[in-house]
Amino acid sequence: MLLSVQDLKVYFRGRDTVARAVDGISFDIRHGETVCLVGESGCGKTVSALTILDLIPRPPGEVMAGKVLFKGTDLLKLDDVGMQKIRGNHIAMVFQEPLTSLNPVFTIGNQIAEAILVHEEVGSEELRKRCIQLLKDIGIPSPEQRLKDYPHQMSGGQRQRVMIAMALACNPELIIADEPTTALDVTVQAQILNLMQSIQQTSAMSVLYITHDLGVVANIADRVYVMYAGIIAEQGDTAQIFNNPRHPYTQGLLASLPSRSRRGERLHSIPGKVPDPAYKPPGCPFHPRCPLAIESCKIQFPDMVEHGEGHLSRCPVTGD
Amino acid sequence: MVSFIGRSMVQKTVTLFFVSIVSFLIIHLAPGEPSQVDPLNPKFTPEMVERFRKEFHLDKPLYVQYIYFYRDLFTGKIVSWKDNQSVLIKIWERFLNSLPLFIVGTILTWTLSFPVGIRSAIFRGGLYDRSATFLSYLLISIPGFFFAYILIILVVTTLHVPVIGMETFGLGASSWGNMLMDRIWHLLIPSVLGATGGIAVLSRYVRSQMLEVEGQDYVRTARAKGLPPDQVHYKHALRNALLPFVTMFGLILPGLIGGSVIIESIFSWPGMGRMAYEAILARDYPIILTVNFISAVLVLAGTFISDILYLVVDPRIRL
Repeated sequence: MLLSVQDLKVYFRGRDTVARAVDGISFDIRHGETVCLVGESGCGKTVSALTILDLIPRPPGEVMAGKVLFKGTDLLKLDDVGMQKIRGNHIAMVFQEPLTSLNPVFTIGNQIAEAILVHEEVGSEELRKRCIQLLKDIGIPSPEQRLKDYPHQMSGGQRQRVMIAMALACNPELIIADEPTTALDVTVQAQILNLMQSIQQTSAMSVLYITHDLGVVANIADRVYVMYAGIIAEQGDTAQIFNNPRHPYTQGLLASLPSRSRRGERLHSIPGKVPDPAYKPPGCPFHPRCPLAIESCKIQFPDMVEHGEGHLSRCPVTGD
Repeated sequence: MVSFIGRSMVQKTVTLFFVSIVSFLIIHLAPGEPSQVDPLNPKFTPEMVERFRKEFHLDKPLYVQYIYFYRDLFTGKIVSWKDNQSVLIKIWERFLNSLPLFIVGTILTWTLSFPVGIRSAIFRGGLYDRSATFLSYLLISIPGFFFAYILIILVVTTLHVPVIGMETFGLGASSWGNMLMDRIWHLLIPSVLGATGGIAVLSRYVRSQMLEVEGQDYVRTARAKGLPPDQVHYKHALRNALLPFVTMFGLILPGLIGGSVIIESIFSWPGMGRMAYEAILARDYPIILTVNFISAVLVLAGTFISDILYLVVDPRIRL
């Protein structure tokens, strides 16, 4: 097991409310595996990812409980210096907004080189070679010249490639990609996805991919965790989730996808909206929107029910 | 680049022309004129007033006066109406007096505000930040003249150092070292006083600017790379937070001619500010307008310098 998040709770304190953004989630990432964390905006998937590297703003954020075990060490217990050695070196991150995630006043060469130098001692000639090689690997033409470019001189897709290059700089064991293609054009999205996949295959690193796009999930994921309102609603292999969804929320999500067989019909949508993390309904957080909800769903927080090898869903109704 | 400089020069010359017209009109719209400053003075007979008006072309239409004034200004022949001395020489002498105050004050302001503001932002909400916030609001709220008197009393009574004027009267025969110390003491108190307000305000700007930048995505990226906090704050955040101050830096320049009326009056410092103030009371148009014109030139030069500096510090700007 490379990374194991256990019963993680991250709350955000407001003036007189507590937003339970992540409310007890557990997930595992094995060596060389691509794991997808899927869910609507506001379901806590980004907060979960940021917490792994201790990047949530504190205050107001606060880790209330749980463990983040990376190769056996609890990252939540590390001091600042210990965390700095993990960041970028063992676990790297690619963010959602390539337009604002690169520093506008430094050249991309400077920013990539910095990612290497902070963890390794490298001579200037070798450093230059490695930066050029990284840019080549991620498919940026004439890398020698592009090193001197500033972020504003590149397109959105190129900037995201640079972000990926920075993440790859120290050959991390795990890359966390937080909706890396959301801000990009569809054609560029496909290129970035292919790039991520080919990198993962050649370097055998693990990827935690966060997205709300089920199409992407079907393409790249080995295993899937479906998040809803700060909890894991369902988890399993990609095939299990897509062919045999057991949680009503997953079923609703899949039914909302456009498909060829239902051409011309209106798209399905799940009624209602995601609960405010400060005012979650009691019992199962999905029950106000759930077509199958029974009386006990309003009171009793559901347990995980096993449906097969590694396929779990947090719904007592479909479990029986 | 060259075309930018050319364009900017033309624009600024046009602006300067309009500034010259407007300031000239404003002065003449203001009530009173040199001949009427002291109408009760028995020496000021109507004939004298008439002679006075003729002498200074005050009987001519405004546009003629305007042309006369700027002709004299550019040929350097302009003289004060009060004592008939060359305005440019008077301003130069006063400028040299104000210069040390300005330099020390500016250096104090800019070297102290940044460390204070940056530290406040990094340790936001901590003890340091809260004390700095309290102190700066205190300094902003205390009127300068009041604070000046407190400082004077403190320095004069406890340290027994006279601080009024530019030097202690009658110290001429003293040793070289004594004279230097005397000068430094006389310079220090008014400069510190002039700088306190600036430090209080500027450090607040620095703090809020730094806080805004610290929340940006690229700062999070820098942290995610594993950079130590110093590099995150002082390389990635600070470099971006400094950009807006380039504008303010260019606008220091006009302060060269402005001087400070209040501080120079309290400390009997024979500087620019006091001269301009006295010239206004006496309706000494040549001095007022010349000071005005020079400060307009300095404002325009300051904005020009900021534009060029932006070009250097912000790679996104191409002129």
